[in-house]
Amino acid sequence: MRLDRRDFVKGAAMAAASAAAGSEPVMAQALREGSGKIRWDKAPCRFCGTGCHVQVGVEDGKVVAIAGDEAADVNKGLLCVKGYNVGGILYGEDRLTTPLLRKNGRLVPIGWDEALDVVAERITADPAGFAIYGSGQWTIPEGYACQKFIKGGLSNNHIDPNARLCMASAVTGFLATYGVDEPASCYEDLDECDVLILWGNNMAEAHPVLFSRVLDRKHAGGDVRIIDIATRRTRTSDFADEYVEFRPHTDQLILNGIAHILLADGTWDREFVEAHCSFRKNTDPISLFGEAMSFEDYRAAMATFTPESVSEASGVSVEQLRMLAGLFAERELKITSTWCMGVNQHTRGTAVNTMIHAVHLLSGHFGAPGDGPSSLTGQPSACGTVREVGTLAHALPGGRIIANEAHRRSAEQLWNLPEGRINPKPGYHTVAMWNKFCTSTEDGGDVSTIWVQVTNPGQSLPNLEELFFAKAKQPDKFLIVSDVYPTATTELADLVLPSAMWVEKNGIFGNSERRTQQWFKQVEPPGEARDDVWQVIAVAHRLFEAGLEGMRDKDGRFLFEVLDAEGDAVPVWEWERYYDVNVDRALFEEYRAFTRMKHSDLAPYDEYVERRGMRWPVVQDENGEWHETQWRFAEGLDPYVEKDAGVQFYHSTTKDDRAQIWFHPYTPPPESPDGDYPFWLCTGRVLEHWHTSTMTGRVPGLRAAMPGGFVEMNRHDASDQGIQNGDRVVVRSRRGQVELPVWLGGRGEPPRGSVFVPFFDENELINRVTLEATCPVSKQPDFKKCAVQVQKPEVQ
Amino acid sequence: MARAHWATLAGAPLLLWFLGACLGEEIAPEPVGEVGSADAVDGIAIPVAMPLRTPTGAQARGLASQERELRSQGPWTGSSPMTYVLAGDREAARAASLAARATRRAFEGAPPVMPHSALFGDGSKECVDCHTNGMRLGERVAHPMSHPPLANCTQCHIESRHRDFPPPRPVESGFRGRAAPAPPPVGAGPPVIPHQVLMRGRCLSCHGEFGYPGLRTSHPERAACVQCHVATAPEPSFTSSD
Repeated sequence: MRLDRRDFVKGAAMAAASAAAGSEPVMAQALREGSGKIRWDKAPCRFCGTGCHVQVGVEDGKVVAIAGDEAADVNKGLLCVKGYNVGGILYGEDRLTTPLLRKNGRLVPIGWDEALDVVAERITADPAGFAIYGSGQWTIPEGYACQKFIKGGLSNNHIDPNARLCMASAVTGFLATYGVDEPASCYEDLDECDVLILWGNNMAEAHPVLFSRVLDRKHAGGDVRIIDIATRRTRTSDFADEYVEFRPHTDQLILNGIAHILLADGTWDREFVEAHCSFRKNTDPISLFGEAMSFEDYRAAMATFTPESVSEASGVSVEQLRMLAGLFAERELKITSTWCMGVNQHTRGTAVNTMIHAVHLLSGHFGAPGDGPSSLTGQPSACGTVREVGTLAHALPGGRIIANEAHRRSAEQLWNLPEGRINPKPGYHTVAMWNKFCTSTEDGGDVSTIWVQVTNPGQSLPNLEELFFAKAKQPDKFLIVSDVYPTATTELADLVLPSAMWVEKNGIFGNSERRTQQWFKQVEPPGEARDDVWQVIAVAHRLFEAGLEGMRDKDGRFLFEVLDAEGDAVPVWEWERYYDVNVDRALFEEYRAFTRMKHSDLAPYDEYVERRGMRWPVVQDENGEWHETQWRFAEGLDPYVEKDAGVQFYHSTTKDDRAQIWFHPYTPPPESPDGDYPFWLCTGRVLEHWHTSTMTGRVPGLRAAMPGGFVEMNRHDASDQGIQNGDRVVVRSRRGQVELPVWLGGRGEPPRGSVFVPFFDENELINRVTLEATCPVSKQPDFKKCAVQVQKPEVQ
Repeated sequence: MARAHWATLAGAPLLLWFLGACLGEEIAPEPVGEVGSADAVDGIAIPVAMPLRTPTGAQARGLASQERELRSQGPWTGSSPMTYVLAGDREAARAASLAARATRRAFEGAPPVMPHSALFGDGSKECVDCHTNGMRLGERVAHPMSHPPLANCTQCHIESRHRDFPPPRPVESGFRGRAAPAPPPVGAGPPVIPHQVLMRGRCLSCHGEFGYPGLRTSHPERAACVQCHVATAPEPSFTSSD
């Protein structure tokens, strides 16, 4: 039985609390004497990609209350339970407060000076084998600092984020369709749509505040229809008008089936397509941009996807397919599609993303408020940091890519680097990075050090045995972890760096609707915990002092030289001086220059201070006023669309202002249920916990409401095996196994032959079981589909 | 400490009947809450039952004068056509109610957890059956929601414990949630609202007949609360920091 790592702090109090088993867990609250003076300030919530704004109440140097921010457009004063509890995440008793170095198998406290020396030594010893694994929960300055440090400083492109595991397929889907990333839509679509179609996402639990925007409108008498296309019943299904259940992976067929009906019935939007779209298909081997396809070939390729054949394979009835196609056929109807992990975490994720865009483009449901595809982002800044700053192994800031020489020159110029500083070879994406790290050096495992920041790969990577636990067998490999609490990742860390979290530091996030949101530090971090940006700059300066050329720009200046108002350099690598100046502002102002190329213009930092975020492109008018953009590519809404253009995809991959409607054939999944492993396993989130619950699991109320993982199972499958509610079962795949209780009659139910397990439980890591196979284009793994056995433990 | 004054208690039904006869209304006396019930704390018996209808203005005026007379008779524990509680120790009743509120909230202003399990497979639609206007079922009170109707209840209101799984090993948290504000000073004029109004604009949720006994208003029949009771707590408001 694994020791709960929260036993870091043991004591009589804990024992006493445990002894009082059977009493109702009480929220951590107090009728206490405080100074009574609460200072309120804004911040975006720490959690999901919705990007709600909260008001943070600080009293006597601690966060004591959270309120929804009524003036925020995103959430208008409403939060979800995680948002209400976001203040509590700072105060788990086992916060990391000192750097820790593993000596003789144990993590022992050391000072920051020694810690920085250790990091610098590892990099110096093997600069090409050094890698950074970052996060969609990085702030923009954090990601930017790491990006500049490793790509612009070390000439090393091994930087990839956990967002590879969540949004990579959405990115490639956008690029393949529009030539540029991120949604054209915004949240006002939810206020305007007549129909909301959910493609495999449990929005009621994963983006609750956004879902409520539609629900509240509906319940107040608004005429909006909600269609839940899903592989299992969830809380979202309870609110939907139509529940359309499909067999895992056959979303590809449904989308082709809809396109087929539109073409066959002649209800596709000929005018829109002829004016604004071209057709595309895969090359062999598959590539991101594919090759041109004629409309006739497209129509011919769709011919086999008849309603009957699609219905047979997908399990969706012909009536429901015709219902869906019928909606798209109605030109006047405003249809918003949302999707998230069901489509992205998919071995054909890029394809399915393009196919959702395709159905909208083919039917002309694009470019008006309420009418268009709206990819939802999971993490709070996967957009703002990962996608826009380009913290991916193949990318550079502002939509530039490593493989493009002109882009490299542009980045070198903006960073004032000597020409050729940026390495032209893309680095390792996430699965490859961890694969190399867990492979011995002799066998070609040429990643020797990974610095993990703001994420928990030891719990969230797929196929953990191969991609993470195998590291333990490689004694020459070194894992550095910057985090706030002990996690599954720190279990194997060689160096742990205590970090400031959320409102313990300045920050900027970018949410799902292109909204960049700023906040200020409001409380001090505990002990020796320090900002992640400072950590990177401090390491960089160590290397600069040691004479590493890469830490200098073209003029010999330190890469992270920050000037004060008088123009003097501030030694921000010294922690005591770090907040003498606003480093966030300095980095953001430098980064802004990158954003013009792909028309993702950001405003000056101080404009964001005054507001609850602005959606890019943010454009200045002749009076000096800054204006955000709600919808892109549509005339009158997007300032970059030319007059009389109507709809203009000005980053078109075919350079003719056209978007691409892609054809993809059906490709089966790499692993399906069979005789030995007869169940589909789907994994995902629940309302109460964020990701691996390192933060939410330390909030007593959230923990009490959702104490641990479970197996959501069809009641008939359970009864076939004599399994009752609460019984423990083993979920086993070819890769690993976990043991968890079954939850029947809970908040959802999968169909026969399918189970669902959330991934937040740190004691039973479901990612031991999942499969690391990825989409060939995006390199994003499929956490939603693999084959498992589900059996009572005593059954062999 | 309030004690049942049996003379008063015995006399109350008679008086009520008399009043009822005067007013032409039927008022049925209702039992006092028992010690150990939801509305008894620390041995203080607090009346749990209130008449379920609202007097008209004329009735209220008539009742008001009767109220002053009744009040002069000493600590009031019997039921009454008036809907306020004049328990002997009002401060204790208030403190007890605030304590009860606090057990369900991570901090003042947080959405309360459900002290019961989410019923019927936990669709939010079932919540409104009890929590739209409030309800009393035996000893349990379902408070009316304090905010305008929102569709996805379980997005904010979670269970206090999981319905089907055992409680987790507790975690220690250093989080100390903001306390309820001090009660407004009693002085000339109606008491100000000391708490934020965000999500708490339906006053009767706490201060009405299905609210907390120690917080009950003496005049639920007056519908425009904010006409007299002004908000003074600064709403969480955006401050521009430098």
